[in-house]
Amino acid sequence: MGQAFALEVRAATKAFGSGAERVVALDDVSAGIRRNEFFTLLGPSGCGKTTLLRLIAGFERPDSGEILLDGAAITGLPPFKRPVNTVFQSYALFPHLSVAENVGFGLAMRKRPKAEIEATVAEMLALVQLEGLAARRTAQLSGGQQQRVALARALANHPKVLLLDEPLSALDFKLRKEMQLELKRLQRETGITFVFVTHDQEEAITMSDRLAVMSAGRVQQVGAPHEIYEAPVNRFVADFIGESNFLEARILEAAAGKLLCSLEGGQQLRVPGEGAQGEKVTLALRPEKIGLTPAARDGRDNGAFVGTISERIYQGTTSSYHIALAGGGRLVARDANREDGTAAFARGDMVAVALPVAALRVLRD
Amino acid sequence: MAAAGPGLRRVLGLGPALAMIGVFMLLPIGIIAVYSFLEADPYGGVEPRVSAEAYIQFFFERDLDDSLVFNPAYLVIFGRSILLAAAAMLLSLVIGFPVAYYMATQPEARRNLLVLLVTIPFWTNLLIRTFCWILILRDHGLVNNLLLAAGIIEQPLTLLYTNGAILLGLVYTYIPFMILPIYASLEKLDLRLVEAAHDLYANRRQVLRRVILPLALPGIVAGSILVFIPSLGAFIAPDLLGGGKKLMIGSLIQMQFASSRNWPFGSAAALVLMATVLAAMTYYALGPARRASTEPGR
Repeated sequence: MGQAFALEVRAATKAFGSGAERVVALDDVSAGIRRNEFFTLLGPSGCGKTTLLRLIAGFERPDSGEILLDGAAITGLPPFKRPVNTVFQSYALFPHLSVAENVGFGLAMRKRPKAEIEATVAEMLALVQLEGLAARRTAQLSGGQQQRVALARALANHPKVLLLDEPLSALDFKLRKEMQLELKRLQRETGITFVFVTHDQEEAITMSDRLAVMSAGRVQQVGAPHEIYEAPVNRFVADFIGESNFLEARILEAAAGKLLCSLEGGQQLRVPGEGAQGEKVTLALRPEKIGLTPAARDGRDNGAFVGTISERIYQGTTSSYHIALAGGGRLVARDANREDGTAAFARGDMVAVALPVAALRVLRD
Repeated sequence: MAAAGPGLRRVLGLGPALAMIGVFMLLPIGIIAVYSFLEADPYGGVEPRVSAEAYIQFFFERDLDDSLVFNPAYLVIFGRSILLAAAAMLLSLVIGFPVAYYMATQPEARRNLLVLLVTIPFWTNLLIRTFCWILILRDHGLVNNLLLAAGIIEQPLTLLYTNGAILLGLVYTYIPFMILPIYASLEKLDLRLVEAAHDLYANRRQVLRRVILPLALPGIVAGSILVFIPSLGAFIAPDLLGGGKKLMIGSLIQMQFASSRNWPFGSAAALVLMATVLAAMTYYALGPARRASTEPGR
């Protein structure tokens, strides 16, 4: 192996039910997670990300495929024999135990000495800033505090990999932002590999070192957030991460890494990429990459179109514009507002639309 | 009048319940208490003369010269009743808990069906059901015939009219009262807690002991009380399956009102039983409060 992964999933497949009700939750999924990495599984509900996490934790067994921890197969091990721990979406704190007993549960189950348990519990409660709440019942805690207890309970075991199943989804917006920073800090301070599951693309982009975008039981793309944002491999990824304009196009000419494409409205564009003449492709473009200028100085060079603003959405520092192109077709563009905070264009304005060819991605799916 | 309205409504609403408790519980207990201090009429009923004879009879017997000698015969019956009831309670718990756990972990539609199945025995008269056990357990009953036919035994085993047969009858009769409360508390149990415990290195035995049992405790306590108390006072199973040879306190009391015609003694035995149960339950019920007072910081 060229690269030592902390955790590796090889060709894992998992289906639930049988016959007509058979649902394939994971379809030949492979992923390598590096040591001390904040790795995120991102996708809409039902994409298989939670199933993958449960496979790693040991709550489910894959129908086929392997799971390796530090290079050793753990596929058949029950959860209580795997050096990984989970922070559950519902926290799953034990209601009959105190905060300290919850945090020390894993160590107590492994029959560690009492002094060690007490010391670790104190250390963990300090780490998540819950000193003084050790004797409380978990039902007496707020949502944010319960979240911290769940984290401390998992981290107390010094797992090789910490699995987090949408741990922030039950928190309100402000607390969620706070806990995002907190999770990053904990990951840095403990040096533990985190595998984080979320359906929130913004959360995934801001927190992860690398992420896997999943859909329909498959991994669509793995990479650093900026790689996935700037170079999505297919329409699903481009659509799920951030906003994108999708322009249906047909290749007129293909030569030397350049394509001459024709859009639905008849406009022609030259973009970098490979393809065959006559092939149908989708061109993806982020709204903030589109340049807008007043249409009076209409220089119709390559990539410049004219359109009318049909809708303006004010967003503080920027505004989004829905543009009806003169030849047909629609685009969404985002542009900075003026210094005084007012939008640069108004509804009904004619604008020249510059599509930077380097930012256009040729997608097939 | 605004205040009287709700007050009146409350009295009217609670009225039927209070009347039920008063007429069908407190009044009979009062009568029993009075009877226990009267003298027996040899033809049944009581004679209106105050006497503690019934209570004396429970602990002592009169010698020929009318002196009192300690007689443990009734206390032995009392002790056997407590032991058999406790055994029935434990056996019901050991059998009933896995059943309740199985029921609680089934899909919802099947759970309701299973609850219905547990209550099916109640649809048939208890006397008839207990009688069936005689057919199963007697010397040439189902069990012995099967074992004889299979060549496992050569002589029929004595199964009927033993303490074991009484125990079987008690467990058979009262086990639904153990299963249903435990099922009710396990049904509320969040199975994710079981997963969390497994995730935190608890093996199956530890999950059972540290998570499932503590959370099912209210159901276990309720089920134990619901099996123990009626087992203690049971008389159908001891009579039919014990053959009247191994008396239990329930049979003893029943006999005093029927064949022996000693109503005061029957009443006294009933009150001693009730007082014992009441004392034990009070101790039991105060258990959590007692633990809390000895564990500061809770």
